[in-house]
Amino acid sequence: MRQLRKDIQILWAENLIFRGAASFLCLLLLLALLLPWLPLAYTPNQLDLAHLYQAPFSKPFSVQSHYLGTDGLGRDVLANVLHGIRTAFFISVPVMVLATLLGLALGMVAGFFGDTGLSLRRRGMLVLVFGMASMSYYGVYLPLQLAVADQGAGKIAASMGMGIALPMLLSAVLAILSKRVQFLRESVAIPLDQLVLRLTETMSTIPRFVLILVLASFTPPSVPLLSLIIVLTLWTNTARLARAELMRIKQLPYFEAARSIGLNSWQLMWRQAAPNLLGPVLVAFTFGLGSLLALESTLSFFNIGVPSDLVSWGRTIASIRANTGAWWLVAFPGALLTLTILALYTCSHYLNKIISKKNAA
Amino acid sequence: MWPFLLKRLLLAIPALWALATAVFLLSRMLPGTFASERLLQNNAPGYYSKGTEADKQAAYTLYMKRTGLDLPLFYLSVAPANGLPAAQNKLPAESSQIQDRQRSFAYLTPSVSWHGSQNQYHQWLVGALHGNLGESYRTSRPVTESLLEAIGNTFWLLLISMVLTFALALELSIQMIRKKGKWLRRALLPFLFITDSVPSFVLALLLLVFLANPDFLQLFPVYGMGYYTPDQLTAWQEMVQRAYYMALPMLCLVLFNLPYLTNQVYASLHTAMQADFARTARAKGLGESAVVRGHALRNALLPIITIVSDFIPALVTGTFIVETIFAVPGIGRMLIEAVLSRDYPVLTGIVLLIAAFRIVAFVMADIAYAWADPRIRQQTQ
Repeated sequence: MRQLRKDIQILWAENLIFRGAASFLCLLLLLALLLPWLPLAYTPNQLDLAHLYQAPFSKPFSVQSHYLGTDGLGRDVLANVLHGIRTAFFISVPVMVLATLLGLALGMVAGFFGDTGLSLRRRGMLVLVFGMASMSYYGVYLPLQLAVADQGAGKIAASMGMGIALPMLLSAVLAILSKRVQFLRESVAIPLDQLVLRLTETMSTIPRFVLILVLASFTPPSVPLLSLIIVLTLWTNTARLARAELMRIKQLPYFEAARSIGLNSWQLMWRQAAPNLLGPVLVAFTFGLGSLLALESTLSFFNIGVPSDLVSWGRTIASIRANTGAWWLVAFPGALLTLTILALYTCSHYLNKIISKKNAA
Repeated sequence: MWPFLLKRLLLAIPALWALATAVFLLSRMLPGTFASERLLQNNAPGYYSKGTEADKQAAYTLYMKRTGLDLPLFYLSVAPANGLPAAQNKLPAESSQIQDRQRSFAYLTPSVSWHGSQNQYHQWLVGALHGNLGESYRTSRPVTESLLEAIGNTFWLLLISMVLTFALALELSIQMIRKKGKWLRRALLPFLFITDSVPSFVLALLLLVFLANPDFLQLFPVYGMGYYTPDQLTAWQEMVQRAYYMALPMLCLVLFNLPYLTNQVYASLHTAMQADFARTARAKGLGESAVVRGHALRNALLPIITIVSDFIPALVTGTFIVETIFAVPGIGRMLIEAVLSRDYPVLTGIVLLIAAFRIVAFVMADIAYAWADPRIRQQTQ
């Protein structure tokens, strides 16, 4: 952690391009935070029907003029572009953080335990399988049905309670039974590595963009649902990276030493392996954030999965389809989008350079 | 070689099946079907909005029966035993409290019923194995038919742009690896890095706005594949016309895919040039071009095959975006339209098609490996 901060400080001091990219990102973040207090003449969804498709920089200038022009409904491009920063950062960053955490958890567990590292008694396995089935029926399916049929919250709570109580009952019964039955006491290995690998493989059979499109078509357009879908499809990259890195770290002498002094799995993963993972994950995070920005604006450009009153760069760009002469609708938001992605990619590139150099040394 | 290929194919099938099943089941499980939105709602657009409630119900039942949507979804279904309890205020007031309590918890017992082969999933699966993917909700045409119609454009767009990009990436890398190529490297690599960070739809729109627009440069036709085609065109004429319409989408795809590919090819070629055999070739007095093209290139190609086959998802995505923006009637536009109108049979069909395409690409990559590397051919025999 300290080492990584030091690396970044050196990079900041020595590399002009990295400094430029990083300060551009900080500036954008500052702008996004300060936006409510900026004196903008228009809000992004405000219609000005007197000025449709107004070209940018048209004179005379005043406080009320649209500096960057307007779209087909008279919405101010400047306000939309600035508020688009807010949307881009406040949605993409949490989504990327969640996806990275999920990927890290799954990838690290898969890489650490492998196919044979984690074993469970048959008893526990039975409870686990039964518990999953029970939770998906009583915890998800039935409450949804009850909610659709407009039943009281008490019934939903009863159903959920049932979903938890049944596996607990089973576990108690099996605990008593296992004293007699040898079969239940034997332990079996859980092929965690295989499970995670097969899952990522199945998900990468079709392009992620198509997968997200298909899943988004099943749900009503809403930002939380779309974010959930993106998190559930985006974790595979980090998982693959974390798995590979952990398998590498597992072979290092210091890790063997840590294992030999008897640390438990949690300490090994969290205190010993995780700090070493931080660098590569940070590189993947900044790069992934750039591609996520592109993905999100593509989705809002096609108006898929997002409500149409969500301010975003993609929405502003989409309004050019009614009038291809209005170049400013694609030029300004597109330029800002490109610059942001470029800055993220640049940061990722230099971070990668400094980290891989150290790993090689 | 062949047993190895067969094994890979057989391993790929479970993933294909799992994905298609998941998409199919998800699409059918969710509430708010196409028919109920079209036929039952009062403010629904079209013919049925004027009918009485009974007419609407009858039309809805008929539609569900015709499309097989009234059947149970899966072989097995789990539902609350006595159906869902009625809402609380509708419970009969005279029933005693104990009965009341008994009835109100009855919904917690699940009942499992077996439907045999009379279910939607079975029929869909059997149909899909026979090459019948159902009918589109929107146009009522067989999905297979419209997929076959659309696949040509997408295929040519994808293939030609890939070949072009690949050839360009190879040539650029070869030029850059030479000693004289230093200035090219300095100019090209940053340019490619910047191009890479322009999202594909922005790039496509920029090209559209600046190259197919009467306000700037009207070099290319704007949309589609041409509306009026005279009947008696020779094959050659037709190809020229198609090429004219395809030029801008193609340019866009090449620009979009070039950065990544060039980077990878260059890196691979660079590694090959550092190898011992390249030094030997130089030492025995071969010219620079002979070393690069005759010795380094073939070895550099091996990792590139993997890279290209891994790059296919991004390629497909790019093609879909470009198709939608330039209104090329292909799979990508069909996909976006199907998503926007929630046309699930078409969606499921497209997902299956893409997944199958990916598997074919994997197999082709394996064959290419064997072709490029005699060692692999030896090993697998």
